[in-house]
Amino acid sequence: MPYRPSKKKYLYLVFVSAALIVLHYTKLSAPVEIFLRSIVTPTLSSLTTFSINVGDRYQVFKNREEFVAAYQACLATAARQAADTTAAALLAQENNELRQLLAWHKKQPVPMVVANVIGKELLTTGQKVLIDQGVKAGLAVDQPVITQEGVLVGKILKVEPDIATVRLINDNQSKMSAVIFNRDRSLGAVEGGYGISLRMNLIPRDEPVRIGDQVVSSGLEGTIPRGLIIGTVAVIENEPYKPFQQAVLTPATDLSKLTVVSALLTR
Amino acid sequence: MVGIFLIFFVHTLLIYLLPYPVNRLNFLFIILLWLIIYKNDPLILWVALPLSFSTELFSSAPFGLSTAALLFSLFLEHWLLLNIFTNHSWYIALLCGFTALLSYRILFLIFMSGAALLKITDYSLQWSILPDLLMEGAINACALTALYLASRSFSKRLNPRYIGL
Repeated sequence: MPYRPSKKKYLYLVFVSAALIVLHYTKLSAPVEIFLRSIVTPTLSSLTTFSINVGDRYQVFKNREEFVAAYQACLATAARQAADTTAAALLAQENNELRQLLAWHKKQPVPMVVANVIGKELLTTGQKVLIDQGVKAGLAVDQPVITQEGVLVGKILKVEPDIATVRLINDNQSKMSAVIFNRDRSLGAVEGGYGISLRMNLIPRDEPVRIGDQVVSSGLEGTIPRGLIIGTVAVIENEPYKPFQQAVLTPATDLSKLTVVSALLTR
Repeated sequence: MVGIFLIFFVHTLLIYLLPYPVNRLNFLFIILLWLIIYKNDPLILWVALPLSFSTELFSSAPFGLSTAALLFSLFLEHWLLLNIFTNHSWYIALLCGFTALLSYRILFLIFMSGAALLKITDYSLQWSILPDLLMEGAINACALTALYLASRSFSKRLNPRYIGL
């Protein structure tokens, strides 16, 4: 005869669980939660740094030729970027002069909050990270999160007084409006794919897209300013029987190795 | 208390360190299931409560949904072990691991969809999640079976009942 536990034991469990949930939503347990988080956060932060360091060690070269090829590619990219930087500086100067001539209103810089990435979300299967700033620092849901280089990495999904969860752009629930820097400035929707890929859908079929074209935020969403870098086009899928073309993107930054980010206080 | 912190720590370490798709290994869930199979005691559900709430503190899902899904799935597995999966063979551990994780994820998705309907969160259920779900179930079922077999052989070797005089 198997052992049958009494129903009372289950009822107590249901009661305690319900009480904890009620205490959370009535904010009565907030001090305890903040205290517990403050204890665990340093450990999570150390683990994040450790995991990024271990991840770096995975990137080894198989042979000398591979290393030399990567080094030469790096030199070529650096030379191209140096030329681009000079051109961009000249354009910025010209742009400023033209703005002054037109008496253009100066854009107010968006205030931002710098935050440390303290870890990944533990329960769900999505691509989300935790940062060590929350409501107290002015963070709100849907604000964009960028890296120090101005690359868009995600949006704020949930805020607590002391921490916030950021949904990364490669999360399977992430969707945002974007523009390709091609001749037509094609609009589309960038969606994540389980942390493996980044896809851009709904690109009009008749607008030519090339591999290497840069993709930036469109500014159509109220909280995300235009021009934040998302990535570059790696693969184009233009099927004759589909009304739109798709592109697979390479993110502009390694989303698994984020350590410091900034939230733009656009709300 | 130390045990709970240790399980939480190892669970976090595995998620952070292992590459995709092995990082879908839910150590916390596997340990709880293993304890249920091994001890067959509903008190394990009480251990699940603080563990689940501690992970909820760092989750983007509305508070309580994951704990509810976890407790329901563990309760279901406990009932299955008492009434249907009564033969404690390795393939029962495999089946338990797979069904428990699937029931946990399905319940969680149902709760999330319900919360989205009530405008508590923005979540849209996608069928493309299915392969990921099945893979997660398979990885966790294999890990549970390995843990079950290892612990069974280890406990038999150290149990005085099995040592010949």
